[in-house]
Amino acid sequence: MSDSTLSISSHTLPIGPRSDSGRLILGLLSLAARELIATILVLIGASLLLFLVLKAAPSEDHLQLRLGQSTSVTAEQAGETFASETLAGQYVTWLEGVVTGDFGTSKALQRGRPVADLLKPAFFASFKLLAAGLFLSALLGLLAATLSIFRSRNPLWRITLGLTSLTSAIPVFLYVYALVAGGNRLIAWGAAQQHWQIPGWFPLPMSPDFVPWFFAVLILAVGDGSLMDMTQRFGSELRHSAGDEHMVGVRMMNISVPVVIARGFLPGALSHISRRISFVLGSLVVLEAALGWPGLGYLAWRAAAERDMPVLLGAALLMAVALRLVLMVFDLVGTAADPRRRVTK
Amino acid sequence: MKGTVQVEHLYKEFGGSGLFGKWGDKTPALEDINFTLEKGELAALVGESGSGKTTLGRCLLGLIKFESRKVKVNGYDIASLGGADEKAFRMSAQMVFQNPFSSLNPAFKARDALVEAIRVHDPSISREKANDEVEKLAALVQLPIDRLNEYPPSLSGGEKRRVVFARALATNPDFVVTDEPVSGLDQPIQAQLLDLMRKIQRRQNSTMLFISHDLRLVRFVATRVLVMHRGRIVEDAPAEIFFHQQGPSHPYSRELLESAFHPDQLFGPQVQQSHPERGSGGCSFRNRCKFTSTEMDQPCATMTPPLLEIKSNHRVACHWCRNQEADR
Amino acid sequence: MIGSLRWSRFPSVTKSSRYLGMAIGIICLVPATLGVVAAAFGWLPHDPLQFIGESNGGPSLQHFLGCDSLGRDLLSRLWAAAAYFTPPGALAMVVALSLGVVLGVAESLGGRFWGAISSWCLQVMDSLPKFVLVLLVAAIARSNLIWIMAAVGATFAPQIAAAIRSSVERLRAAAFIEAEKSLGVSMTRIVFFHILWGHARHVILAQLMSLMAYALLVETSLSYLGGELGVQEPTPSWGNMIALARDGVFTGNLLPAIIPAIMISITILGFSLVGQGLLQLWEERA
Repeated sequence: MSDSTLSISSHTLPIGPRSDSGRLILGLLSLAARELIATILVLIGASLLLFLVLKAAPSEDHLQLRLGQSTSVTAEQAGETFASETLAGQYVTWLEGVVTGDFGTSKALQRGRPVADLLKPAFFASFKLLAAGLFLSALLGLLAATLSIFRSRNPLWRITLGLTSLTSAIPVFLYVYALVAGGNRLIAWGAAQQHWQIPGWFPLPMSPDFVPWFFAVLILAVGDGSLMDMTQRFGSELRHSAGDEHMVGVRMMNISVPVVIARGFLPGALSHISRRISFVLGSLVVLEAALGWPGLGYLAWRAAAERDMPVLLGAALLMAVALRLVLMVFDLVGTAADPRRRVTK
Repeated sequence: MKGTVQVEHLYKEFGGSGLFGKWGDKTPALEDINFTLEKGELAALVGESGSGKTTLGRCLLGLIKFESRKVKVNGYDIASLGGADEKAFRMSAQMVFQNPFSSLNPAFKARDALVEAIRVHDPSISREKANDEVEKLAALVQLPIDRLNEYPPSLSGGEKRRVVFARALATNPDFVVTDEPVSGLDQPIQAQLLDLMRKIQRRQNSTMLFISHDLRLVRFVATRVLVMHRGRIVEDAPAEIFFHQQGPSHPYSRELLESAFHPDQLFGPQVQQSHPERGSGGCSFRNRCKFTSTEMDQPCATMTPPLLEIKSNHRVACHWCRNQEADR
Repeated sequence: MIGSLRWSRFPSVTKSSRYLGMAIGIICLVPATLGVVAAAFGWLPHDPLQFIGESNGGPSLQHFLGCDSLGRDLLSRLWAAAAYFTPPGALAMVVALSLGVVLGVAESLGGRFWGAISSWCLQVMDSLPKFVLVLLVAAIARSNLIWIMAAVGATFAPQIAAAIRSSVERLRAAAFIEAEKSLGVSMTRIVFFHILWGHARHVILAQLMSLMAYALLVETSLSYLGGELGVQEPTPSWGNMIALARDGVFTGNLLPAIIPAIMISITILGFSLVGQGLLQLWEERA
């Protein structure tokens, strides 16, 4: 009698029955298909927005888009035919090129070089940095949030939390400035005092060697408000998933509490991280630009500074595609973890 | 025309998906509702949960869309309401909602809710004058005036009901739908509030549709009883007949009445039968009916019983009852 | 296992600590506010663009914070920068608020068709990295701060819309919406007064605070990095003040670089703390 009531009520908990894993996979596949279509629609919209922003420019910058996009005619001819097309025609022509991987050629940055050649190596370097930064940020945020839940009455902890806010309020470019200026002085001073030897990556911004790279990841994880935001959001998610009324029932039924908390926490946390990516990408641009490291962000900043529109647009679109794909994966994982979202989708 | 309600062939479906709601499964919620209310009547709408009582109430006030041949409340055609007509209609018909916890905006004081109700149709009324009106209203529903300055979460259940009731009365309506106005209260307070409601209704000679699932409360106030089952009105009888003279005719109404007043005599150990699917034809109550068995009676399984008059002012939708009446 | 650890069912933020955070946040915003007021009423101690002092002169009674490498008064430049940033920052807020409210309301209450359209618009804006879109606008607008901040506001609209959507979703089932409808209250009043003003104002205000922090971050980053994207000399900005003084580390003139850096950090901290405090205030009410 009591057994049957328990098994009925356990279905109302956020722990899905395990028997229908096949249905779950099917459901996720169909969700993935739908999300892919939505992603393509959104990316078309994003390219349209970028194109329109460029068209709104008072100058002739937008004509650079078509420069050398096709190889059969000279750049000037291509530009002229492009200018004579209608607005919609220009957009379609440009989009056609972009979809086939032809972003045009660089106009100022590395004059005449295809943009795709510039973007490809830069993308992987930046992606590594971004992924590491996000991961570290989430990890530190989770640590701080967990402590803030379970040890909130400890005054020492409050000071730590305050320091988290303080360190996180410092912009990335200030961190980079401090790292380059202060770090180099410190290393030089230590070497002069013969405390240590000058490392291979001195002076600092020169190469993304492991130690400077790790510092860059740390800066990305903490600066520009990343850590503070993560801590705060994760804290409120944890409080919700650990504090729900059903936790009493969970403990009465001897179900693993950490698993229930994790499953309640994961979907919200993933959506917070995905909302954060867009900001961290901005920090990445500043970081790479300030350090002068080759990457998508550095490319975007140089292209903006030198008004090299094909490169800037290519970088923006590439980032948008990567961002959407990552968001899609996060959404699928979150849906798999949360039965409620499975039902409503 | 004021205070009258005429409903002919009202249908309502829920569901539908897609960009414009054209695709997907639809669930019929109300099917072929017909009835009229005269001025000054206090009709009770009873039935189990999910039978469509609240949906019908919301349809009558034009809060949701529906299909019908004719629905006229206070002389306004609800299906084609709009513009100035809608404003006038909103003043003349009000609803007291089921859940007092969420039917008052928790961000604003009770007084503000009432002031808004007074000023929404005539913004020229000054705040001071509206405040005086609010205090009159509070006296009418016997709410202490100092409670008006509280936020809804700090009011008690009975006080919230009084505020909600006062808000419905603020525009001096001719027709009021009260949806479970006293459920979830202590019995003395239930009685007090119902008594107040009935007195106000008599004094203002307004028409009221009292939605409830509790026949004991209905007997206390109603002049007429409409019984709903699975989206249809199955019986429409004067309260005098329903409670005092020969009693209800429809098997479902009988079951309701017995369960309300003699719950011990009603059921032995029996299996709850599932209802036939909605919209599939036949009587929706046939699986639970005591007087028929599905295999024997052809009409109960195949033909939906129409709501027909068996005596003056007494209509029933039941094949068995009509046969009984014909035999007599 | 975790159950044996001490936790409370309710948010453990106490009243005092919440107000402490808010108070610290407001104190952090005081220097920048002083600057805006001083510049608005013409109370700056010196003209921020005039070369009046000694190059890299230290603090004195004449120049409270000393001078930069070109001999301009540091305090005046600091305050003038805050004042110069204020109108574009306000524009960013206006753009974000109007776009976010329109799209957020349309998405959650506009029916299936308009809901889908505005949801698509929001997703498009959200899928472009914010800073890169700002870079594009900065490159096109030739470092015109007004356009840059309008772009920042537009990229922040999805955040505002999300705040609105979540409070509408929460309240959609609440009976008071229907009760107001049956009273004859217009939909506009229900949406703007009962939902947005009554329930979403804290969240929207908190989002606007984080928008201000982000706008300041973008402006100073662009001005620091250079490349004719941010605020250009001689117009003062905390970012280009640091850029100008960045070699001071090697010559021992730290003050012209450190003071704007502190100003940036505490102002951003102030905005974030006030925003966080507002969110907690709302979380406790809800």
